Amino acid sequence: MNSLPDETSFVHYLQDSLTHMQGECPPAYAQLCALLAPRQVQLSVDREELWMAFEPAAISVQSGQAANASVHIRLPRQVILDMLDAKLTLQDGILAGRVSLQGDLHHLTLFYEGWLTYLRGAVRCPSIPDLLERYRYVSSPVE
Amino acid sequence: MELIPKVISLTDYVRLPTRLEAGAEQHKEWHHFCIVDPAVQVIVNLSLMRPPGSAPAAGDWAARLALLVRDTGWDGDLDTIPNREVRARRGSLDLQFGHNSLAFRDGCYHLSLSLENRPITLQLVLRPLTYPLIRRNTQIAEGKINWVVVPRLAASGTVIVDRRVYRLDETPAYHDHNWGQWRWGDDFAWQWGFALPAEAENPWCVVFDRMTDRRRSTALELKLSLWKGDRLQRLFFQDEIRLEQSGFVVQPRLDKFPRPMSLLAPERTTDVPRRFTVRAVRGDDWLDCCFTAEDIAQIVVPNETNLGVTIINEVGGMLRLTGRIKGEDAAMEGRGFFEFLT
Repeated sequence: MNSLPDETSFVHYLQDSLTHMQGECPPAYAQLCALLAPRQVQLSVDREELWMAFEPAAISVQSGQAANASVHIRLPRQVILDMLDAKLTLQDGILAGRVSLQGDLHHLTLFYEGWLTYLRGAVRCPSIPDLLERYRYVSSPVE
Repeated sequence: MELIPKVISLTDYVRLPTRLEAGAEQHKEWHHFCIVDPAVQVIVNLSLMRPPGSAPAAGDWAARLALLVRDTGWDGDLDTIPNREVRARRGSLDLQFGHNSLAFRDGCYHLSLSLENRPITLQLVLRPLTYPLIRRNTQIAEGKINWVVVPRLAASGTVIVDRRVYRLDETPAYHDHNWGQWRWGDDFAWQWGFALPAEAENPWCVVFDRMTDRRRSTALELKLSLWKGDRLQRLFFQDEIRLEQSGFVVQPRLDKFPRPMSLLAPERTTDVPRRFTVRAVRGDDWLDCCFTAEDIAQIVVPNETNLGVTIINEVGGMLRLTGRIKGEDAAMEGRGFFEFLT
């Protein structure tokens, strides 16, 4: 069963990181919007379901199921941590069957560019390392 | 005080700018050390730059410790130290980055370092064996970079990597200090390296540096510096120097630091040459230096000018030097590090 997401869930991490990015690295935030608007992306992290809606000037993150997601990504929380620790690349994760990406080729290509843009912004935001530490050490998988 | 420590204390001090200096917002500064023991090689970099973000407070500095170790493989990390835990004062040669410190006292550098998230610590005393060389205002894209290099030191103390303990006794080591104003991502790249003999009685050591545009097609600075004992023996410049390279370093695993940056630079290949040769001639003096790369670790730096990255390839290897300088044969074979920016 999904429990209500607490402050250390992935949905909160993602919401908070994007809020910080909007203030601390506006070019990356704007580029992310420009790349992926007006699409929705569905994410499953362990058993936590969330979705992102991209608009021309804003990104929202919510728990639950998107009505019309063009990309679906499913991965365990441990894979996120392994990628941060350089034990795994996204490509490795896909090839090993630990990351599932679904969508048509055009949308997957856009998603990959968006993923890189998010990372480029995240590494320039002074607040994000603390969010990641919170996610790494305080959060536990949603059961 | 002996003369070498006195000259160092007068040249190697922290240069943090006052708010009045041009380009103060782009100021960058680091003290860099390398230890080249046959069993363990260490790279230490204590750096200061203005923190990212639109309006950092006056006097705020982003302090980072890079500590990379190569023994059974590469390990290490880059730790960011909160501004409230940083003590760095213009004019001083003491740095306190959280629990990490660099101090210059009793004629030696004292390093005490410990990473936050990796089991690596070191306590070293580094005794300078040469006078420093100072180079001011080298062009770096639109900015300037300054350099103090003390190419040869003797390091004693302890390096601990996981459960492996290395006790060093007068191990060859290198130090430099850079400061200046520029932005990561600007139109520049550098190739730089040094090598030190394993035998204390061999008097020769060498430092190479080349500053270019980012495509590496135009050399802004090219220099080869040779020391004999504690003195600079010969400098070669620009047209006196020829470079050759062959092959590329190929390795099954390419470690990148800080680790999350490997998501942004996942490539497992580089354009770092396997063999890099520097030949210098002036009059009757000549020098051949052939560096053979063994392996690479990468430090990945976010650009300030765009959303890309700059990759600093830290290349460990062996250098063989032969030549004739001022009527005397010069020969040395030893371990060193080269840096190639991508």
